[in-house]
Amino acid sequence: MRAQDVSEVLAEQSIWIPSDVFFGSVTGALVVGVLTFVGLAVVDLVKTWRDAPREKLVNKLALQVNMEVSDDIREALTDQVAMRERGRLVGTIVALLALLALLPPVTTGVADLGLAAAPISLGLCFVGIQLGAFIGGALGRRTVATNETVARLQPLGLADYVHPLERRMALVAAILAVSIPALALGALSALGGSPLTEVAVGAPVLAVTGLAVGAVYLALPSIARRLGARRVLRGDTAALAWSDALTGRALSDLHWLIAFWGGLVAFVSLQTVGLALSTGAPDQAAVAINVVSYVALGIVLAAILIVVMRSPERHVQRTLWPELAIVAE
Amino acid sequence: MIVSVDGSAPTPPYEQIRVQVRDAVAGGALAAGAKLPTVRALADELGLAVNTVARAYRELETDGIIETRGRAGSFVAPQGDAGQQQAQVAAREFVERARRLGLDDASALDLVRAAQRR
Repeated sequence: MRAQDVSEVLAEQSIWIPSDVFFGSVTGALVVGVLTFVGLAVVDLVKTWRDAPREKLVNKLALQVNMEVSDDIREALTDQVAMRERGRLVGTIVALLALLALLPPVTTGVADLGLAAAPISLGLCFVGIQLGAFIGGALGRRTVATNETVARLQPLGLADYVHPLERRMALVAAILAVSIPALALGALSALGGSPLTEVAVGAPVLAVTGLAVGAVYLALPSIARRLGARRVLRGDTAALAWSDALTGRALSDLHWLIAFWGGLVAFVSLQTVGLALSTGAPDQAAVAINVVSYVALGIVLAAILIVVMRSPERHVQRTLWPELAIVAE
Repeated sequence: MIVSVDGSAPTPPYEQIRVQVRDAVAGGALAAGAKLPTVRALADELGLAVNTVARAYRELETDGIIETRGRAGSFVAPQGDAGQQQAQVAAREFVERARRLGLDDASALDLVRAAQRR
């Protein structure tokens, strides 16, 4: 059977779905999915007031960072970790609800910001989660009642808190996030703009978003100094060690945020270039976008695997507090 | 460098801080030019009154162990005779410059050893 015959048969058998019905269904499914996550976050939030889940949170964290929890600080640490978790969950809920507000009306189904909508929406979610965790952690500052209190006379730097691989990963993401949208804008200018609204509107927004990622990356040393100075657990040596671990964790989260957000901006910007260059040739555009997608996905997965295999969450324990290890490495 | 204060010890807290900072400077754990935390921040971390830490800093300054540079804060003062003091300042500046240039500490030390062999 010839290709033309096949397409004719398929055309006869296919069902025509109006675009507003299709996009409306997709948007509706997205709303239901987001609301489900909001519901789960609310359940988790309630659990942070119950003893057993709080204990579980602390034990899980102790294993992750590979640090012993002494009996003296367990209660204060549990409170601190619960506050941080509450902040994270409230941030998640707020970000998801904001995401719902950004969704286009069910009848139109077209996002106003086009290509830029994906990194902005996902970035918004991650910023909400991390910001919530920061605020929760800051509100959860606790003092452990011990005879001995300790303090560090010289502040630690970013390198003390965060694994080198995570720092490199964030650096690469920040460079890509700033440079690729700029290249996309340059390419668009050289082409005299794009007839595609998504590209014309999305490219400048992506460039601004990329600059924001770069600015957050440059602010990391300053953020590390400020977080280090605001000790979350005051008390003896064990409290200082856990303060370092929690600060390291917060900074590590920020590095992943930059890596994720920056990578997403760079990836979508590449798609923008692909679309802009292939205007009028849909097949080429599809090939360009697919190639970029698969290559980027492969790189991201490889990078995550390499970083995670080095257990970066144990960096603080390895470099600053080797004596508190639960499992010797 | 970590300073600890034992609330149950007979020695007053300001004296415990003073002795530990003095010993750290003498032992080289705190190098000349190292910035110390502000009085308020240290008091907050140690759970002490601001006046207690301020007294320790004051006495360290009187002993010439630290120096206060106005609003910039308190720093470890160069120790020993004039020659030693200049050498400490030069060492501090070298380390800061090497780190700005992206050298790790081991590579910076190699450069110092190479220079000494000339």
